[in-house]
Amino acid sequence: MSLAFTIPTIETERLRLRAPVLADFEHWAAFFETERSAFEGGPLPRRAAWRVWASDVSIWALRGYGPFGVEDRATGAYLGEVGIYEGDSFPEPELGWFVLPEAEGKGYAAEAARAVMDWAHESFGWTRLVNIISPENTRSIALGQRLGGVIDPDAEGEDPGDVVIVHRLGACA
Amino acid sequence: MTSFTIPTIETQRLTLRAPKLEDFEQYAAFLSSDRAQYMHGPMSRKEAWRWFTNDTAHWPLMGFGGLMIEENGTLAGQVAITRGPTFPEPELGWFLLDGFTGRGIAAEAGFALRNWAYETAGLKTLVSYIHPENAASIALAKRLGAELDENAPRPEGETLEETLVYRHPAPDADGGMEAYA
Repeated sequence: MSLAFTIPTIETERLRLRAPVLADFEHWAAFFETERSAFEGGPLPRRAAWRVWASDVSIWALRGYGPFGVEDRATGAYLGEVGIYEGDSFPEPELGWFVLPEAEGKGYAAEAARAVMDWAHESFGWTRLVNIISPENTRSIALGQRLGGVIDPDAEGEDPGDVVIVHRLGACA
Repeated sequence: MTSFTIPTIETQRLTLRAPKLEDFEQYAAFLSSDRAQYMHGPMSRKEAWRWFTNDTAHWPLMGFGGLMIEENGTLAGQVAITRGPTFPEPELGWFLLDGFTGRGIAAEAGFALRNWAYETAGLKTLVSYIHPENAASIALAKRLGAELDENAPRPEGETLEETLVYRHPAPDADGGMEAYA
């Protein structure tokens, strides 16, 4: 009668997407100490950073999907986190990404995001997945568009002013 | 893939089971009430979501966490073992929704989860961090056999004025379960 759930492992050309583990949090704590975390509500002290990160991880148990820790397949190094996010106030599930500063500029977020979109379509039959992005986060908005997403000015985000990018999933996307 | 399990624990009167999304409304309502004053509350819905999901995320990340307490299919509260990033050690905590106090429910749930933690999760000790004015929780901690540990470290940033540390009996010393077997 216990609750059992699984988190899959997905491999791409360069990456392994796998269940988040406790050790990942140190990277998030460090991220939330910096100004770069402004788009995610930071900077935040460690206890608050934990609540944000743990909140996202919990979605696996509560909804059956969630964020993946992303590793370099060759070295095992933690590169960031990409996956499905859906907090209490979200209008719908969201495709999100976070890459460590030292791992940026190599296309990792895009590679992982494509794998997550394929997985979401195959696993749940979803044909739509959005990004919900702060308007100042031009880098993420550019990535969303590079992935083939289209800004929908009428779609609802989490906070007023959020940019919502819509991705069509599936073979005919 | 990685597999995770959140246990269901049955006691004499209760079922302790994994949190579900549907529990959140009552959880948030409790944390927004004055009864949450000793749990860093009352707090907003957004903050309550962080707490609720934190208790749930503990399971895949640490192998222990929060379980909702049900009595005859009705949500009665929550019992949880948590270890926040500023905690020196894991903590056993609890809260009961209105109408479920005064009947030993928190004690029954606390004994059961503590027993599970020692026997199944392999924990060797547990504490409860309690505000000095929270008489009800202090009484419950004592009823569970916990004793004030004046030398125990507190979560980072918390002072003696706001946090007492009650240490629960170690696994071999726990003779309390017989009362609820």
